[in-house]
Amino acid sequence: MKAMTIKNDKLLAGTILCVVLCIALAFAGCTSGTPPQVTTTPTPTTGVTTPPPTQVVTVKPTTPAIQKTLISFTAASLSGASDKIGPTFYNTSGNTVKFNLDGTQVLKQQIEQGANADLFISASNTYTNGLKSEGYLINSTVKNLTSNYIIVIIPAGNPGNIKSLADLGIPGKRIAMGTPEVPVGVNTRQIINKLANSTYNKTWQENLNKNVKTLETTEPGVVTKVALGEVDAGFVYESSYKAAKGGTLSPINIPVKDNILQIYTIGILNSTADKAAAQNFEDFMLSTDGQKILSDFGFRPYGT
Amino acid sequence: MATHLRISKSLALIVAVTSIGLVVAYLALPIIALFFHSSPEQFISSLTEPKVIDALVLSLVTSTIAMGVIVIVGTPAAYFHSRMDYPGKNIVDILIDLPLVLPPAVAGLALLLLYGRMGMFGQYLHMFGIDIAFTIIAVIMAQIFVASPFYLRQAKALFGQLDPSYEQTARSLGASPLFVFATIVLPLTFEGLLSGLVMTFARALGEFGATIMVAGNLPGVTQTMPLAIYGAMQGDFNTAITISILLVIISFGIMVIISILTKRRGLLA
Repeated sequence: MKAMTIKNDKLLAGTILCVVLCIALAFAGCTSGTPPQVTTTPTPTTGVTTPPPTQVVTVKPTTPAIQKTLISFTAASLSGASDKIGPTFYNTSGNTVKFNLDGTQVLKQQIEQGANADLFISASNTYTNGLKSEGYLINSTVKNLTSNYIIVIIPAGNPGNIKSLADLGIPGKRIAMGTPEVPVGVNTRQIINKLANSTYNKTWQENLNKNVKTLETTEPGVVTKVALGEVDAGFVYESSYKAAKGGTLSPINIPVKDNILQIYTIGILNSTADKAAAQNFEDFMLSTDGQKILSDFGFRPYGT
Repeated sequence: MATHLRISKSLALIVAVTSIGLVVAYLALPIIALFFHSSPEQFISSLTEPKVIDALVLSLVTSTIAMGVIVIVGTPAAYFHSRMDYPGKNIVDILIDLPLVLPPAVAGLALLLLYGRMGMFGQYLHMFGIDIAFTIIAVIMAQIFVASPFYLRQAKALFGQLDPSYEQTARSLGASPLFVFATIVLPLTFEGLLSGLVMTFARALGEFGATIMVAGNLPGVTQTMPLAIYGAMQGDFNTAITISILLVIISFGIMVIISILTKRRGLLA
C-alpha cells in the first residue's frame, strides 16, 4: 500500500513536472515571439554578446612543439577583441596567450596581491603608472597600445525615449555607468562634469546622478545592462558601440571638446617567466596585424 | 595484546589531535588574518564611513524584511505541506531545497529574466510603472530566493515530527485551527523555528551573487555589505576589511544564538 502511494506519487510528480515544463516552454516561445506592447518598438534582442569579464580565452595548441603560454592581465573592455587576438597570435607565433579579463582596477589589485602574469594591458594611465612606480612593471616595455572615447549607448527600441545628452538629466530615466574605480567610470564622471560646466548645468548633473541605477565594475558590465534593456542609457567605450551588431544599440555622441581620449597601455610584468615571449606578444599587439584587430573592434590608434 | 591496544589507542589519539587541529587551523586562520590586517583604530575610523554605514543599514533592513516575508508565507506553507498529502509533494520538496544547491549567480540571472524590465513578468509590471530590477525590492527578492530553504526545511521537519494527535484532540474539543496553531504547535516548535529563522537571516545577510545580478551595485540603494566588500576591494582595501570584520562578528553572534537555542531545545526534549 505504502509502495503503491509512493509509486503513484512519483508518477503524478513526473506528470506535473512535464506539464509545468511544457507550459514554461510555451510561455518562453510566446514571450520571445511577440514583442511587448509597452511601446511601439520591437523587443530588444540581446544581440550584443559581451563575454563575462573574467573569461579566460584559451587557444588550444595543435602541435606539441616547444610552444609557450603567456598570461595577459587585460582590461575587460578588450574582451571582444581578445577572442580574435588569441588565435591570430597563435597562428603567427605558435605561442598561446591566455587573457585574464577584468576591470583594470581589479587587475592592478590582483598583481599587487601577488598574481603572476606576463603582461598587463591597462585601460588607465593612472593604474599603469601606479604599478610602474611600485616596481611591478618592466618600465622600459610600457607602451601606448590603443585609445578609446566615451559614448552613450541606448538599447534597441529606446525604452527611455532618450534623444540627447540633455534627456539623461530628466528625472526618472535609468542610467548605468562604471564604478568610480573602473577606468570607464573615472572618465564618465570627468566627462559629465565637463558637460555640466560647458553645456548643461548643476541641476542636470545632479538629476543625472540620481538616475544612475547601477554601478558596474567593468565596461562590458555596463554594455550588458544596456543591451538587456534594463537601463535607458549607459556610458561605455566607443569601441563597444562600434563592435556591437547593427541595430542592437544606438549611440549618442559626446562632443570631442568634453570627451576624454582614454589611452590603453601594454607592458611586461616583472613576474614574467619568459620575457622574450612576452616581448614577442607586445610586438605583435603593436604591429599592423595587432592594430588591425583592435581597429576592427572599434578601437582608435594610440596616436590620435 | 595489551601493547597492541595501547599502540592503537595512542595512534587514535595522534590522528584525533592532528585531524581536529587541521580543521581548527584551516577554518580559524583566515579569520585571524582578517583581524590581524587591520588595527583597531583603522577599524573604528572606517566604521564611520558613510559607505560602510549605508551598507550595514541596508543589509540589516533588507535581511529583516526578507526574513519577515519568509516567516509569514513560509510558516503556513510548511505547516500544511507537512500535514497534507497532495500530488506532486515530492516536487515541492525538491523545489524548496533547490536554492541550496543552485549557484546564486544563476538565481540572480533567472530573477532578472523574470522580473527585469524586459523580463517575462517584469515587462507587464513595467506597464504599470513598477520596476523591480535594480531596486531595493530586487535585493530583498534575491535574499528571499536564496535564504528561504533554511527556514522552510527546518519548519517542515519540525511540523512533520510533531504528533498530530495533540492538534486533533484540541480540534475535537472545539478549538479553532489558528488557536491550535498558536497554543500547541507554535510553543512546541518555537526554538527550532527560531534557529531556522536565524540561519535564514544569516544567509540573507551574506547574499552576494544573486543580488549583484538582479539588483546591481549602487551604494546606499542596492549595495549590501557583501557587495560593498567587493566594491571596496577595488579601491579602499581597509574598508573591505572593516566590513568583513563586521560580518564575521555578526555571523559569529548568529552561530552563538543558534547553539544556545539548540541546547535549550535539547534540554526540553
